[in-house]
Amino acid sequence: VLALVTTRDDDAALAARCASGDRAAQRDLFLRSRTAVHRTLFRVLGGNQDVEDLLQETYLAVFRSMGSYGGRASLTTWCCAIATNLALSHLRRRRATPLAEIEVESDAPSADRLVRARHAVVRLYRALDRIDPVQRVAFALAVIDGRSMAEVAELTGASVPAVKTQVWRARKALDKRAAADPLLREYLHDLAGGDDAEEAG
Amino acid sequence: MTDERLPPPPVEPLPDLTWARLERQLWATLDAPVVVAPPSPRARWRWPVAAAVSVAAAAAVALAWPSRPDDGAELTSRAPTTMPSRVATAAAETELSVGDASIRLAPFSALYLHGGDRGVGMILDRGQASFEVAPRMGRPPFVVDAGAVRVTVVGTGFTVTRLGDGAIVDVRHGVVEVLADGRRALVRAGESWDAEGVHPTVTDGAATATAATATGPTATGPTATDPTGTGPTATDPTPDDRRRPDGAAEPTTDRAAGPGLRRQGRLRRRRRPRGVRSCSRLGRVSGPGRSSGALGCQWAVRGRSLGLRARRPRPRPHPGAALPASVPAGQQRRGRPYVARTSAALNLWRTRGAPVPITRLSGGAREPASNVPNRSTGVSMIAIRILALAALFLIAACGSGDGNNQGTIDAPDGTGDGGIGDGDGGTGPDAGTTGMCMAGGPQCNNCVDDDGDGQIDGDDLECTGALDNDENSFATGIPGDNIDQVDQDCFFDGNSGSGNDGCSIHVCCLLGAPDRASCPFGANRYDPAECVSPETEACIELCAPLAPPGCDCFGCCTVCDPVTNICRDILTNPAVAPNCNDSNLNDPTACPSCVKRTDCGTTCDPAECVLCPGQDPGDLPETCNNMNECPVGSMACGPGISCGTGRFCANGCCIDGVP
Repeated sequence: VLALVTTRDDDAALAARCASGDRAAQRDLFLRSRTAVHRTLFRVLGGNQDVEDLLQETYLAVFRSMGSYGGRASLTTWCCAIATNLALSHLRRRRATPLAEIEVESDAPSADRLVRARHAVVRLYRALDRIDPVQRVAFALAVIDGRSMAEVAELTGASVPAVKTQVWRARKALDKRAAADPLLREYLHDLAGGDDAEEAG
Repeated sequence: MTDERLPPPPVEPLPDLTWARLERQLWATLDAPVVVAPPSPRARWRWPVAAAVSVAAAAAVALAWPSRPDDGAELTSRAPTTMPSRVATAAAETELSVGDASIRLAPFSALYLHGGDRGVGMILDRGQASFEVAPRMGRPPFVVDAGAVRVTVVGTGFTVTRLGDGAIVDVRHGVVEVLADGRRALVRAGESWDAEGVHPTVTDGAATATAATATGPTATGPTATDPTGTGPTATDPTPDDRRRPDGAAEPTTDRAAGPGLRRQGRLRRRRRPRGVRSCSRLGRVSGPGRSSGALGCQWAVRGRSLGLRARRPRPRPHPGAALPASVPAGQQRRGRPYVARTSAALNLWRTRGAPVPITRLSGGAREPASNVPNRSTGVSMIAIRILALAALFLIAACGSGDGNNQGTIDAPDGTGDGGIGDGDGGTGPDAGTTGMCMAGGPQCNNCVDDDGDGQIDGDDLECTGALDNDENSFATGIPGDNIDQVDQDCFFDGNSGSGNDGCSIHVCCLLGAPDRASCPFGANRYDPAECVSPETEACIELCAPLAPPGCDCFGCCTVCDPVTNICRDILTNPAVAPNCNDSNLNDPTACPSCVKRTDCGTTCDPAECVLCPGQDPGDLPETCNNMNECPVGSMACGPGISCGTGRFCANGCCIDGVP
């Protein structure tokens, strides 16, 4: 995986070139940030469905609003923030669509575990479809993707306490739905354990 | 329920093709003259995007490639809805040319082909590909994408090895520009680029040394720079990707065991599986020897009974472009891997512009890329000729699928009078001298499996050289050849008689007869004492280069049964053994044993990865990594590696053609 780290000075210079319409610079930024942007969208949406359209919208927005880049965050984070906002808008306007079941073909000893994990993910995102999109975004980025509250706050434009509140509310709503779903309950427990462990660390 | 914690959901990567399409549409949309009015927040992106996409779609239909000099690296397609061809390889590598670029795709690799008559773009989906690109001379650059790495070419030869979302780029000659992580780097001849930067390429000699001591001949080059053994495998757990060729640093148990545990493979019985490994999205093979007629379709076929033109994999890495290294032993096919494909007439990109033929490089010969006409003006007469020639190939190949000889050559009858009457190479002098098979040439150089045994031309153990016009037996089908039972001359020079080659020996010396009583032919002239006399310098100089590996100058060859892999030294001269063929190699009556002359000829040794007649790379020890070597002084050959003018590719090694 290519490193995505770059200095803010580089970001500022690159942003300026992108804003001036330098296609090479735009391509550089696209290649540099696309993995992180895709990851953000994938986590929020729960799959690659609609991701391509949102990626397109994200980078159109990035390049057309490049002049507003202030340099407070890295360019990649800035792109991810735009993607997060677009994903949020997307969630608000779309109707909940159940994700397709994912078949796992494997003879490996852990295949059963993988299948269960996939099914748990499907159920988790089905449950997320039924909660507030803002809470969903916060939960997906913080709990599922394992980002820090500060990072999520940076991406969503909210304060850290607000993000914590959204995550807590999301978890509460999910726990309620998981009461009758042992697999989802188990998965939430595992995710919470990982999250807790990370925060403790 | 288990005690094990369920893993977090993995991020499923987007295919490279999606990224390419997305980028293409993005730039087209940005370039479109869109007037963005201040919209309501909810509708902010809808209409501008819809309008932009519409404009982009119209623009994309009209444009195959952007011609702006600074933008040539884009993969803009003339028709975004037209999907590119996908070429995927199985255990064998394949070679193709697109326009004026030659591409060698390593085993277990996949490549998307984009573009039209205004430019060429590639996406290396997995594995490794080597490129020879003619100087662009003002034409749009040649672009290769490999994950997040973009290689822009002006005119050069280079190799790209996919590693996860990145790649390794090795440049053989010329200069390429690599764009990755927002940074550009120029990589020059003899240099490699990876995520850590530019550094000198591991030299071929060093690579060979490494191969000899550790992981086989392919464990070098770009793949050796992935010592973790992770790369793509770590990021994509699909079975195909687990077989990616970049696991060089993971020697199998056999290889780790070293030469002492090399499998001799002499008594092992094996099957030759058949089956289609892969095909492009545009079609699929319905069975061995049958073409689906799919555009852009290319497939790797396992097994021998394939009526199409089939070639063996390249036996060893091209200098400076190491083949992908280890493939997990359990996933390697047994037997000889073949790659077969449609003719050039069928391998057309589905572009809406001028078709770009994906031509195969027949006979391993390759026209220098610089000699290929500029394709920017559309379909040239050269391309038309290629298509016509390919159509002839296909017709001939289909005709041979049932074992009948329906080509332009007379059916062989084993009597030496078949087909070409003058023994001068048949329909054209090039057929026997350029190393490139051609329709209408002698049976052992006409790109056709004339005897229906699944082996073509130099891969057929019954072929002795480019002029051999009888693929069905050890006879050459050349009038005046193979007629003397007693006095043996150079077996591979296309005639009987030692007058022109300086080689002369009594046949019973070859048969190992201890005395006249046991000499079945010309006993009255047989003197065992003369058998110890060495061949003349003239004989060695003229005839030894004509002998394929495993044969001495007189046709005493170490031949291995293709089915049983039992190898014997047999006299293949049809004047002495007229009934010997590939179906009775183990019959000492039909195929008499012989004593090879050690001072004139070429040896074969599977333990040293040198194939004997009748063997294929699958018969070699694991340490050979499914690729053969050649005797000292002989170069390896195969698809894409020509022996050059005047030479012949015999079982993976170049031998001289008859002067």
